[in-house]
Amino acid sequence: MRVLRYSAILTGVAVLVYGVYGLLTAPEIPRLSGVAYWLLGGVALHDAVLAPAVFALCWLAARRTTPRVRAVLAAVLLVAGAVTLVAAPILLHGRVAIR
Amino acid sequence: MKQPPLPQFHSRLHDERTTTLVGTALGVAFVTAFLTGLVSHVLQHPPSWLAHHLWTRPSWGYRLTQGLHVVSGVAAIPLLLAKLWTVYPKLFQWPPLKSVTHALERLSILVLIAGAIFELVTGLLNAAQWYVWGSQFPFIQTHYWVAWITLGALVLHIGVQAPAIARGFRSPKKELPEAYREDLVAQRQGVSRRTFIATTAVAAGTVTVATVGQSVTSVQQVSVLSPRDVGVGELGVPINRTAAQAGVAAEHVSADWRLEVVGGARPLSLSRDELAALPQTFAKLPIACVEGWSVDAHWQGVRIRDLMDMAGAPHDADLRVVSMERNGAYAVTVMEREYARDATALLALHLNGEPLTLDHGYPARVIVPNRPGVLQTKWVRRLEVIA
Repeated sequence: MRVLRYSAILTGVAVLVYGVYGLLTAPEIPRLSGVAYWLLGGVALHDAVLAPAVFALCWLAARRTTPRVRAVLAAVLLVAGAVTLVAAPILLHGRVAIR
Repeated sequence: MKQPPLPQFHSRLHDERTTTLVGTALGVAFVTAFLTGLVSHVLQHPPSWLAHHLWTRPSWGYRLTQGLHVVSGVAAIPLLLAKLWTVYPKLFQWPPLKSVTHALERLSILVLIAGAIFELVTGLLNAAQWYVWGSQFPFIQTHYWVAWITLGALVLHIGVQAPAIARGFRSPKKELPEAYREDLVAQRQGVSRRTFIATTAVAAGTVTVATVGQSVTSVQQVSVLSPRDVGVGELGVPINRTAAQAGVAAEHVSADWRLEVVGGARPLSLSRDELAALPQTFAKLPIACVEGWSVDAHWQGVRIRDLMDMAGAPHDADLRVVSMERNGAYAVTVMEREYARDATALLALHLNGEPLTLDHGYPARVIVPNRPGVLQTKWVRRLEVIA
């Protein structure tokens, strides 16, 4: 078990380093600032905007509603939220043009 | 250092069991997306040691793997959101950094989350052909390398968290009946774990069904969020790149167009009528794009291997396919002999019973089983035997 665990950790580090090396040396990716901006931007947007908004709603629901209503609200929030995110490119940019 | 006021989290669902269950589903989705993405990468850019070991069967292999790639990525969106919700309180752990190992572990988590969000966002936007990032980075190579980084961070994470995952998999009902009963009472105060897991599953299922219609034609009616309608468009097949986008104008494909087959013992030059007079082969083959959409179609044309034999190509020769398209990375591509010798690999002249239209590659195009759409070259001008 211990051996398995440490080999997973070492394999993970090796694969991660391979990916970083590939990203840094890929001739098609001359500037890394754009990639870094998008990598960190996604985390920042989740951790500082999306998650606090969701937890604010959770806090509000915990004070104002019964557990049964809360379960329904949580379901609506997760399903509707996921659908909205997946639909966002189509809503904002439109479907791929039919030719 | 004094502890600042930190947010408090009271839900019992920020526990190891919930995290383990949602995390396992997310891990399966990510590994599926990684492996199917790797399949596409290898088929598009085969390394030399693999180039002659690629299969042409099943003919729908690329269709299946790339449909799965997009499905697993889309399903991962609600799974990732639910997973991040369960572990969000850890962001505020105090002290933030306890040791060098702890710092490295938190750094690896940052890499994992950043990579995971990046892959899902860029993949989703690419499926809708919305290149918001403009010239900040090239999609294909960046999506590819960040996938390796994310997978590495994922395997590392599983290794680091193995004890917690093992605990999470133990059924509290069997192993800790007392704690389980206490849990039941406590959960009546809030959303139960069962409800949370079920809701996550429903969210993943909903977004999957809502988008999968671009690869599974029969559910297209309910797939209201599918980025693309398939089965519509000229001759019932969508067009990813028009002749105009590829820089091919009608005058380039006028009546004096001839297909050249060069590099063999008997070079050929055939008009479209001469091609149509050769023995014709019919094949039902899907055209499938890396963006996940695919559609089956009926093709008619001349077997590529027949053309190679007529041109006196050696049996073990590969083929270079040259298109008339002006702009695009796939104007000149290599077709390994494993594809070229396949009985259903065609230089197609007809699609779904009609002559090809200009946007579908008129006068002649390639259609080969189990290959990415970008390698199904349209507007073919020349086939060069690589001896």
